[in-house]
Amino acid sequence: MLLEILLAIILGVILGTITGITPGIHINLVSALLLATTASFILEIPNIVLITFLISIAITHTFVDFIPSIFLGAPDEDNFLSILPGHQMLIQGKGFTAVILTAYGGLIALVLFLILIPFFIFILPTIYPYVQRIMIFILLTTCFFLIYFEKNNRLFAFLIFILSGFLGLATFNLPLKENLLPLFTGLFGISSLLTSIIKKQTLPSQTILALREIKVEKSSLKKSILASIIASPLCSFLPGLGSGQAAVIGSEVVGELNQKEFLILLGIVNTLVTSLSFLTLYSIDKARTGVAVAVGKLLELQSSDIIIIVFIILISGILAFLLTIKIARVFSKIINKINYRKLSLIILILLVLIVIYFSGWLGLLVSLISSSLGLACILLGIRRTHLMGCLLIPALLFYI
Amino acid sequence: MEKLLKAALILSLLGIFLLLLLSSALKNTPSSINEAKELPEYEKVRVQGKILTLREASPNFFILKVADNTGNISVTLNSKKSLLKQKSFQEKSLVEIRGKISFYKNETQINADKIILLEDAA
Repeated sequence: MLLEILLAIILGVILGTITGITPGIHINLVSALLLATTASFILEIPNIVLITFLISIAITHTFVDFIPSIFLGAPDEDNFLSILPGHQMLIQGKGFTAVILTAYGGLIALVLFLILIPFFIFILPTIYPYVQRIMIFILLTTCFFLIYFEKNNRLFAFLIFILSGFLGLATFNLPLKENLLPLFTGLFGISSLLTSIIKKQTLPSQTILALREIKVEKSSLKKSILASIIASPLCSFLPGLGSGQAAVIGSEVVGELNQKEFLILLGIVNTLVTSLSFLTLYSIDKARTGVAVAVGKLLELQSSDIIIIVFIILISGILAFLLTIKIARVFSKIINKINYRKLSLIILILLVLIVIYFSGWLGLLVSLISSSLGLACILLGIRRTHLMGCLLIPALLFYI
Repeated sequence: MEKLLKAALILSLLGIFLLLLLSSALKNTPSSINEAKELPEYEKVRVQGKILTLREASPNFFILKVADNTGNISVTLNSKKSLLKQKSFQEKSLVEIRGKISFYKNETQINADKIILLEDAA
């Protein structure tokens, strides 16, 4: 069995790398597709091996998916914020450093995950019922602070937040397959790519530093870690809150974060939220990520499974960290040699094809409208977290 | 850029309005239970029918059998709101089920997100 688990980890890491570097593909979509295919024809494989495979894909994906979001401007909903500081660094020729900072964050997340295990297993089940009772107030407070923290224009932020809410409500009520795919592809992916195409973005040659030269000050690390400890558990409690919004809340609570600190924070939150989702599945029976839903369908988790899951997360995380460095190095070498505008156009066409394939023509319509709202948000110069009203408002209405 | 912003905002407003109209129009056509049974797993579904049986299999977990004139289907609901405490939900109540298709022991069932009472039990 150990050999099968190790093999599943290696295969998972390989597939997670492929899904991670594919622009616009979210791990929830990958989990749903894998679950559908594995259920139908790989019935002989023990469920623990299947969940090993799924978890390895998910953890690897959380490391690698910063590469397309930073280099290609094609993020998914969990790392869309990285496009801002990450893209700024890319334009300065520091795309490699930006990716490495998120990978450092992922590595720190593995350590934080180990530290948070006792809290999530022993304390969370006791406090969760009380949290549920005040969920509506927590959600309202979250919405209020997301808009309040907007520095440029709160009125526009509120407008975009409300419009996103209506967009989310309409999308969730449409008979769409994978309704988050067209919504997020439009809001965060296509809108960013359109901006790059319109601005005729060109990139300077990228500096590839040795890892020892990418230094992070202790105080910066402390700030990012503290913000992530505030941010990550929020995603375990709050419906509709992705790691991006949680990161914004965390960063505002600890004070203004610089580019480096924010990228580390995003790296931590992205990996930590996915890792913790398996613990919440076990302790409070809540699957807060798509991959946790898939794992929950395959296996009723026992305490012995948690030990295996911790092992899988650690091994996959370390492998993913090493792979991320290698792939980021390759991207840094080739990115300025290609026509970035043409590349953005190719990725845009790829995203459109993915949307049509998975969500049909109605999905394409949703993507088109979401793109225009995403573009409006960029042009207004306000934070793109307000677009997450598309999840937060439907979640609020569910609890009212 | 200002023109582009105006265009993006107008397209967003009109588009969202169109999507809201579409969602309400498409909502008005629920599937029959027989049609629902043909759908693939995880497909969103909306059916209407009468509750044949209703039981709380474990705390906050309900299993219903719902039928219309094309057949019947099992519906599961994980809910913090106890259905049994809401007396209006009884056998023979006409309800609308919204949820996703799932397969359990080779049988198609609906994992309900929402159950709406359309008519009390006669």
